[in-house]
Amino acid sequence: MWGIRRLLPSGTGLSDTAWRARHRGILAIAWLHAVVVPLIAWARDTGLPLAGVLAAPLVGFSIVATIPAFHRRLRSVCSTAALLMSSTILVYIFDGLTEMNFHYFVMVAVVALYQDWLPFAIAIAFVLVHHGVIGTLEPSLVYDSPEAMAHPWRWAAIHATFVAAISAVCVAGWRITQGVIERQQQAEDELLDEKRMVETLHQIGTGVVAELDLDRVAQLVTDAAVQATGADFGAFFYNVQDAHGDRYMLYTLSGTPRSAFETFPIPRSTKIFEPTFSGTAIVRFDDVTAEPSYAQNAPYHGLPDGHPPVRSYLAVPVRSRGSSEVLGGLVFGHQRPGVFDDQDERLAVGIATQAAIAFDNARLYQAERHAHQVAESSQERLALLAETGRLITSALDQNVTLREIARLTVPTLADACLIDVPDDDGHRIVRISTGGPGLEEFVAGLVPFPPGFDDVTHPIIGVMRTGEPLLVREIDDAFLTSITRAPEHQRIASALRPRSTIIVPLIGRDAVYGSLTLINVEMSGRAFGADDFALAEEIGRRAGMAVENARLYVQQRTVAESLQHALLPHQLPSITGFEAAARYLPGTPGERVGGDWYDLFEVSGGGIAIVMGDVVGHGIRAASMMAQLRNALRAYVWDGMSPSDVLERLNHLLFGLEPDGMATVAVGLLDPITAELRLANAGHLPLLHVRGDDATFVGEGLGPPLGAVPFARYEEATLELRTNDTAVFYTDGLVEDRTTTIDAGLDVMRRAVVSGGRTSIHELSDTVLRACLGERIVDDDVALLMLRSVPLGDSLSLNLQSDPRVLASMRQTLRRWMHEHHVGEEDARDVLVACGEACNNAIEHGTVSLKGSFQVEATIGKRAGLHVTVRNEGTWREPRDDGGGRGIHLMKALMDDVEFDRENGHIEVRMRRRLGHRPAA
Amino acid sequence: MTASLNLSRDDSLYVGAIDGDIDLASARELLSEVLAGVTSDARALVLDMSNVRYLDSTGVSMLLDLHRSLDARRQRLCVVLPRTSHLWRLFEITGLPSILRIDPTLIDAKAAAQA
Repeated sequence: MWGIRRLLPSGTGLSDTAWRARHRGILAIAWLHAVVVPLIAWARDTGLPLAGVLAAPLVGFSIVATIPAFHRRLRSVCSTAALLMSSTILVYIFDGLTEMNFHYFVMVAVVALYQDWLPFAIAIAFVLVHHGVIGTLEPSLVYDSPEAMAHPWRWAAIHATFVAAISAVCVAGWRITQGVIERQQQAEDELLDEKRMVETLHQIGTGVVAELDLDRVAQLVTDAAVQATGADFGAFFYNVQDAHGDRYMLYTLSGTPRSAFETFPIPRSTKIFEPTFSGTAIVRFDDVTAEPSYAQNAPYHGLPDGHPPVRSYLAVPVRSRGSSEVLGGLVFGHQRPGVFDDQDERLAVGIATQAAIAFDNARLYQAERHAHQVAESSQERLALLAETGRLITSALDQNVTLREIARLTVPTLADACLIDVPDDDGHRIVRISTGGPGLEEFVAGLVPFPPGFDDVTHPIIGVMRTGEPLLVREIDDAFLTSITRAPEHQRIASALRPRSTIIVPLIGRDAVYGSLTLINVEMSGRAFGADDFALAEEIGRRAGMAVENARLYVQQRTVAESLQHALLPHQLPSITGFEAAARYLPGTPGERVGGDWYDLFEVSGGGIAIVMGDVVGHGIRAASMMAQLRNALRAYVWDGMSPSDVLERLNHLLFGLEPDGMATVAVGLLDPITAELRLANAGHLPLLHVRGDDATFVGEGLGPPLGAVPFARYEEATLELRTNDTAVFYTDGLVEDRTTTIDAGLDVMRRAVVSGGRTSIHELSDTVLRACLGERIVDDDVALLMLRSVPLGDSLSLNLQSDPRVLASMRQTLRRWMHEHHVGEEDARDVLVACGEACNNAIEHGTVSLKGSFQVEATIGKRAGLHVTVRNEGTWREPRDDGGGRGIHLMKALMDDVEFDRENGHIEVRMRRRLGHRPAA
Repeated sequence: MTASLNLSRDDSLYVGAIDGDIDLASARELLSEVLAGVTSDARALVLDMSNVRYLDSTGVSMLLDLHRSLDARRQRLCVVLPRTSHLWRLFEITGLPSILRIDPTLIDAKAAAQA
């Protein structure tokens, strides 16, 4: 029975299009009969009414078959009916003519074109039934042979047999045609499917392969696969490897929000997933819940609560083309069973292949980029090391160096950096931190100094104590607690999430000076590795050397500075009739102390020596040479040598002391009475002589620097320092720096001196410093010494020590004062002796038990003449016969009036001299 | 020291030249320096005062002391001072010319000392 049925055509094979075409032809035949058959009837004298009656069913059936709104089957049946009725009527019209029955056969063949069992069966059944019934009732209508009329059923059967035969032939043709069509259709469908898949894969391929970011690739693949397979949702689990070789699995989702899976763990190697993640097989279940391996695993035993429902399940591994390594797996689900077919599977496999290619590409790209970054970063690291190396030798301030090192490490090496350097007492510290917002504050709070330096459980202090560096790749809670002690600091820590740290000691030649702590946080995504550790250790060593060098330097500089400061005059001696001001600025910290010096001192015989010198070089050596030169110079000047002789001797001395040494020195010797300045200059910058609005550099008397030419000879220049004249001595630090020429510097100084010429000498000194140095950083010592001759005024008032040695300077001052007031030479000499006598008395007879003093006052008036008063504490003693009496005698002889006052322990001698009238002897 | 002494021997004489100021600070030292420098075998000391810038009663006393000391050693003191010197007036006021042998030039003084 089944065999016969398989041989028969299905009867449903015709496509709508094919049916429409065939139906149109069959319908045309039907309509032709509906018109032609009544016409024939009419022509055969059957009469019009009969023709009309005969035409009615033909037209009726044809109309129904024509209306497109009706079902295809109904229309097929109606056209069949119309055609068979046409055959019947034609047989009737021709009175059962045998040959007319052939028409049936043609119609049956026509109806077979529908390839539909219903119209076909109706056609055969109609022929059989009609011939049987009508042949029996009215045989003349269907048969014309007497034999047939006699045995209508027999002939009906004979007719039916023929109809069946033609029907069988038609069915065979029909079956053959249908097979061909079916095969074509199938091939066409397959082609279409293939085309669709290829298109889909191509589309995915072009999108995915162009993408170089792994995560994006994964997402694109997942989206495409879910769409192509018609899954409810899909996931792509893929393996990644971080910079340290740790592997972990990420996933992307499509068709369901990520939140639906956020709480679930990554699928493990259960029976269901194992073939996918090991890359051994494709897994496809029409109903996963029916599988024996389903729901066998703790803790969920099936899908976790909240997981979208899954019945249909498809999973394909994604394997690298090159290495056959399993990259991950694509997993699809659908809540209805049996959704995924072969084609979906093939699609999924195709997509997995595309994904593998894209993954390989992206990995290659990342590897390439990583290699590039490594190359770049090792270049940066080399630069970092070179820079720290440079710092050690250049900057000599420890804090500057360490700050620079901290700055260099962030962000090249770490996200934040902390450098701790405890002082020798272990409590006060240098603390430098760098990093992004929040990070700097965080690292700055890392060590609880003080107290806590003894707390070796603190990792940073531990490193400082042991000198052993520490690398923590992944910071855990315990470690975080050990470095963050205060609760608020721990809160900051939990917000910043430090991930990885390196702590290295700052090691010098034989000591640990501190620690360098580097921190990376979660956010930046980098953790420290062995390379970073080695680099940090090296930086720690270099920073340690920097600290050591800086400390050594500070020690040396302190010695040099102390030496220099000890040798510079703490206070300038006061010289009546002159004002002096000195300024000395040591080179800025970080630069080395130079060998600049200046000196101003009284010389035996009442002269004043002025010295400005500069030893070439820096540091202790220069400072000690300066000390020797300074002391020798003092001795030579004290011995009464002229400035030029002093320089010749110094030059000689320098060649003996330090053959490689060199110095420039200007020496001036001032006579306070005549205000004459004798000047000799060994290669030093020229003295600036200021008079009113004129300021000129004194170029005369310039010889070679000390130490340049053996047995050099020096000339002297002479300069008169008139009242209000100023002499300016200075060193090159004032007028020379790296950016301006010395001529420009000299010009600036000259202008400043002229513009500030009317101000006090102290103000003028500051003005000159400001003008010459401005904002610039002084990198060399600067020394400035000014000497100004000032008027003594209308009255002279001197307070003198009770010591014979003051007498010379008293006379010099008095002489100058008188000179200033145009007192004649003869008057001046007499007054000088008379005043000298009074002073002798004051010194000899004053209180000698204490360091007494006496006062000399002098005034002058046109008519009153010149008054001199000498006052001292003590008791009057009668003049001795030999000397004292002679003194009083002289006073009285030289002056017009001499009065003595002795009361209350005071002795006062008042003398007056009329000017221009020498008293008679 | 505000004054300096340059002492030299010329045959049986000593010639001393004083530069600078003779005052309370220098007079006593000058005196002892001269007395120490002039040996007892010399006949005389010629003291050139022409380059003395300042002199007061202490200088006068020094000269008188010197004169007395040399006299005790039977040595003559001859002072050189021109009449034009600004010190002459002081000498006059203090009466030195009546006590000391004073010549206007070194040659005169030496001649007087040899006599």
